[in-house]
Amino acid sequence: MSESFFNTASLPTLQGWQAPGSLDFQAAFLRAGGWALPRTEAFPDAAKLRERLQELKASMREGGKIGLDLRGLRDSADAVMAAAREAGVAFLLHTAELPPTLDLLRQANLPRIVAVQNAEEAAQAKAGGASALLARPGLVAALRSLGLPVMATADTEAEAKQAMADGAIGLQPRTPSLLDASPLAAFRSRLMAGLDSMAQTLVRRGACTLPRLRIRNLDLAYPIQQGGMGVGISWEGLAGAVAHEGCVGLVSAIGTGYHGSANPKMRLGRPDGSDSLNPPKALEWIIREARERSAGRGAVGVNILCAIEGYEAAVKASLAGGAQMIVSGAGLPLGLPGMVGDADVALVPIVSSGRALQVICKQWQRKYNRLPDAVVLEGPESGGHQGFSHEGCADPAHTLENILPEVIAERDKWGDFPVLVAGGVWDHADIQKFLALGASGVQMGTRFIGTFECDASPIFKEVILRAKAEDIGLMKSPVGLPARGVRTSLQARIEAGTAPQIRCVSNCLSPCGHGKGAAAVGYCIADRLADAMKGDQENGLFFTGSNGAKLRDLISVRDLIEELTQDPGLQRVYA
Amino acid sequence: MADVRKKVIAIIAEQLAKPEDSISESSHFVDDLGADSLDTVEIIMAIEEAFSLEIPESEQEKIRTVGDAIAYIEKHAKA
Ligand SMILES: Cc1cc2nc3c(=O)[nH]c(=O)nc-3n(C[C@H](O)[C@H](O)[C@H](O)COP(=O)(O)O)c2cc1C
Ligand code: SF4
Repeated sequence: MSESFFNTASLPTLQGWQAPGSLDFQAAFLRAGGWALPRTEAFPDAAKLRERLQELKASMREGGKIGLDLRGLRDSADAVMAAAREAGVAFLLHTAELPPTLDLLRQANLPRIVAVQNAEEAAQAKAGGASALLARPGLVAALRSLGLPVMATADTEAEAKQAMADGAIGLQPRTPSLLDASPLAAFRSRLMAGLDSMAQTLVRRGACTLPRLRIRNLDLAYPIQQGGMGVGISWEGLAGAVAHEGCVGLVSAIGTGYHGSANPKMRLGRPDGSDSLNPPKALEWIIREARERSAGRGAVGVNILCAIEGYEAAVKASLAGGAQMIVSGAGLPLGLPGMVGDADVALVPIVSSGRALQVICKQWQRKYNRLPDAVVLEGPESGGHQGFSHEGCADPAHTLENILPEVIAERDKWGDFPVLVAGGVWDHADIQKFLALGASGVQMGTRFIGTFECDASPIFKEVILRAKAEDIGLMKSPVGLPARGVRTSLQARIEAGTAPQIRCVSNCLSPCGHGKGAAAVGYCIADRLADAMKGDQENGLFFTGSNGAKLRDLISVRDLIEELTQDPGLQRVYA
Repeated sequence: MADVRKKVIAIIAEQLAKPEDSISESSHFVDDLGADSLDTVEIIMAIEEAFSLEIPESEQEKIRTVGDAIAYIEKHAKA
């Protein structure tokens, strides 16, 4: 089946980015003889997907093929496959992680292209009956030995040429500007001929309507910041990848004793004392590595909770590692400017009210003659600790939309530093909504858990992906603030008094008072969060924002940023 | 001395929007006067400003009643 499928007169060219208003674009892609690739993720249900597929079918021309990118499958796989059959979908694309519906996909008897990240995944894909592989250009040569056709995703002309030289049988250009590259020039002219003039400018210059974001002397391509997530959810893998796509990636400073680069003193299986829980050297290493991975794009910062034992040491380690921003919440970082001195680093407090911002500005201005370089306003849908009481979180007066105006008004009294909103931001429309309300950008946490690059164990991600709205709620925490997470069997065991013992080996947070707070709520947060990161379903505590209920599938950070920004191929960063 | 007391009570009354005669030296910011954690920080900041003081963070944590504040000021204020 597959050999002849991939053996076509012109170079198989996969649609590699999602252009805004993509019907016209996908149709033109087909007319030009390309392989259009609608993504199930872009459609709320199978009915909407069927509509789009039918429209595409009407635009079909010689050589063009309609494929279906199965990442983010939301509706039942049966319904989606039925829609695909009706529209004459010619092939499927999915990731190496074998979908639970693999049998169903096999029955569809369509060529399946499997996107793989390494040789191991490729072997697994072959064993699962893949018809072809899709990989980064550097892998093409190695993967050819498996005997399957290999297609390559390319960002630059050099990559495209290398992939062709190594024997790739097709390309997936990931940014429109790459269409100018020689292997694709013929395709480009066919494509441009099929686009109306508006769509042509869209391909040429990109259509991203989001503003850039300036924080201190940092110039970010997109107004998106990935929030710090502890313990161990956002380290070099996630923060580095997010910065690489032109946004801000934040490393979490807490619990770095659990990081692979640390070798802390242990007692009873836990880092012994706050110096072992938060070793400055490990934090420094993580930040340096994240910056390395960012390849000089975006910005890498650090999130340090005000309440952690060893706050000042973490600040110093962050500067040593080259953090470009220090973000600090769950308390007032009143002394932070004094700790950084004249180091060139952006200081960004997290607040939940205009009053908190006022107190910080007053104190920083008076004592250090300095103002925040930006502020994050966290509303009550966010993951982890909240800036409100239990009842306060549910108060309609405290929704992010409702507290934003008072914070903007307070900011206006002091200067024009950006206000970023956090807590419940899900997609491009949400970002646009908050920008229209006067925010300069967003901080997002939960959506980044649903990425391959997120540093948590696969089981942590699974727990969040599987969580339904009724599983997610507020719980008490040893620091005296409510926290949002997934209710697992741990909560029942805490109530029954059979949860793991509290021993305060790590002495993580000052407000807990060496285990007093933990005793009051029945669990030690340091131990439970560390277990969650490592994937211990029974003993872990899994933080998530309300949006955890909507999270369905893992995608790459790049795909996520492309979706959030609606910048086809992230041209602002790559072109 | 009485001056300090009067000034401190006036600061706290303004900060918490309470009548001065509802505040005495034994009043606890949180338990008696209903201050939240931000109020407490603001009271300390206002005191620092009014008396040209710098109260280190470790000392701030110990100031929990009106009397604590007065005692601290009397001990540390520049005459
Ligand atoms: C698993 C998890 C851990 C978090 N840990 C921290 C943290 O250590 N420090 C912090 O300031 N915020 C923390 N947050 C909050 C996020 O940085 C972010 O502001 C928030 O989740 C935004 O809401 P969203 O998840 O709806 O996007 C955490 C959130 C999650 C989901
Ligand atoms: S008992 Fe409290 S302070 Fe001690 S490690 Fe646990 S949460 Fe941290």
